[in-house]
Amino acid sequence: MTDMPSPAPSSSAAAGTEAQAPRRAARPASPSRRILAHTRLETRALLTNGEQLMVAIALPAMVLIGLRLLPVGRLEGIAPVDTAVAATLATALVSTSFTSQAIQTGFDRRNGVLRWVATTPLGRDGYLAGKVLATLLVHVVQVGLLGALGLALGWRPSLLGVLAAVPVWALGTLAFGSLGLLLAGRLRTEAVLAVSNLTFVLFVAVGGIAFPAATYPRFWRGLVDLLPSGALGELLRACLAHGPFSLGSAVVLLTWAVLGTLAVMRWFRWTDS
Amino acid sequence: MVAAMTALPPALITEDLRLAYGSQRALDGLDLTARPGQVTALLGPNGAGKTTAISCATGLLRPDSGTVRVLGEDPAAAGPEHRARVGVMIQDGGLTSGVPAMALLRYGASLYAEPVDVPELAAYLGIDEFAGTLVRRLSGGQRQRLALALAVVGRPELVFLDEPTAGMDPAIRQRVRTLVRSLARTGTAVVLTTHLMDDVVGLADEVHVLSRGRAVASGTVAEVIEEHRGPEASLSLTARLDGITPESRDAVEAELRAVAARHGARLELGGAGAADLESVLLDLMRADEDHGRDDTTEPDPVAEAPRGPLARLRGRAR
Repeated sequence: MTDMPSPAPSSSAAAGTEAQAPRRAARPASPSRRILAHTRLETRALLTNGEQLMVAIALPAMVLIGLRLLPVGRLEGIAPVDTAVAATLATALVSTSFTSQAIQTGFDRRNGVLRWVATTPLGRDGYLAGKVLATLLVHVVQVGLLGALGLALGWRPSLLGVLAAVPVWALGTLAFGSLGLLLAGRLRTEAVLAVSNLTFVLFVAVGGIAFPAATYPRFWRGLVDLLPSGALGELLRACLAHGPFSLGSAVVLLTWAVLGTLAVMRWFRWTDS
Repeated sequence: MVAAMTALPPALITEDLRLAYGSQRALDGLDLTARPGQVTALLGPNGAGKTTAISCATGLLRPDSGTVRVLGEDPAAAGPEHRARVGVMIQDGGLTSGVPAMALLRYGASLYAEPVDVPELAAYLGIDEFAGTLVRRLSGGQRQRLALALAVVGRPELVFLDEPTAGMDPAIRQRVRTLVRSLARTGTAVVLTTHLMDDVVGLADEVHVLSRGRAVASGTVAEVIEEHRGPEASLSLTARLDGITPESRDAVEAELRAVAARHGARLELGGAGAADLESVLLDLMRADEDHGRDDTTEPDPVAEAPRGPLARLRGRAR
């Protein structure tokens, strides 16, 4: 241990009875610095947590290898590796934007982090902005690693397709991110864990991500077309696997993004009380 | 306390603050003041309204009625510039669990334009001893130290410390007390809640005793004790005997006891202030509970007026 640090600003009034003038006001760092600091913290928490890495990288990689090797989830006239990569990147997006964010934010709420953050210069808006940026950064890491694995397995995307996937990616992040926050902001932490993991598995397995909606029975296909997972899967297959483009899927994903954001603004709770 | 600081406007003022959770009144007309350069302690049993009061003062809760002004502003409507001037250590920690302790402290510092030197602060509070440990693996006392460091790292003008020394070992507690005194000496208004009377006696310039959402006694520690017990009941003197040797300590103590005996008084040496204050606090709680029971049977508004020992003290609190 060491001597006590000076708690007052260096230019403030000195201690003692001569301290007549008010001390200079403490100031916040610039908004960009605050948000970037929070982005770094969130990214670090996501990328150094073994469970998060499992959900963000290992699980989608297993999906990619499985779909590449097993004769499932394929579309006629499209190379299996192309549909596998599209499904994998959709899985990665949902894992990070939805499951990881729901769990991390749920624990933050239970641990009082959201209360404390609201009292700091970062504030609630800065917290959310940093969280969104961190999610996007993790996405970049995911796309880099999983894309490289896809290339190694024979995936050959077109530049136009990759560019077209960017707005789909952003819309998907907004839709699933808002749904994750909604879970975190409404349910008890234990329920957030259970519901977010179960929903993730359902989205991937039977929600139109791992397997195209066209491969489902007719009665189930109608429901999948209306899910954000089904819309995301269809749109990413159109962009990255030369699949058919569906305007309906774009409208569905946009609707989920808008409704999800509005629901978070209306119903998200920052405290447990 | 910095004497000249008392001339400055209060850093915190609450007037007739009221807030209810459903049918339960958490704050029931609370009046508080905290001044720059002073340590203001909020005392009271669990559920007295201390944490709710701090939540209102930090903008986390909006009161149902009444006013709260923090550094001249409404905290619920204030922006980042205001929040940079106010440090908060909340009771349940508020620490992100998945990062190392030092990384979290550096992050906290980066939210401010002129933070305290982080390694220096970490070394002072012993945080450097567990710098690389994930927050979720820290002990309760270590978390408390980290939360305290995050509350003061931005050099706040007003700092709220909700039970700052809970769970700390005596050596660290002593360091924390020194830090709190230093904050006040340099002009910071410190508002703390605690259940430890030693903390109050050793630190507080002003005490507010809260019960059922309102202040039932306010003043200095000596004033609260004296007003409740009456000046005739006890006399507290603080004396420092420099240069005394271990051999002569017993002799000095014997002479002091002899003086007390000559005047027919009982002498308590060491820690008497804390013991007195704790006993006063318990009396006040009992008296206020009795008052509450009377309220239930007599809903007459006149019954709101304090009775018995509280009558004198309430006059100060209002």
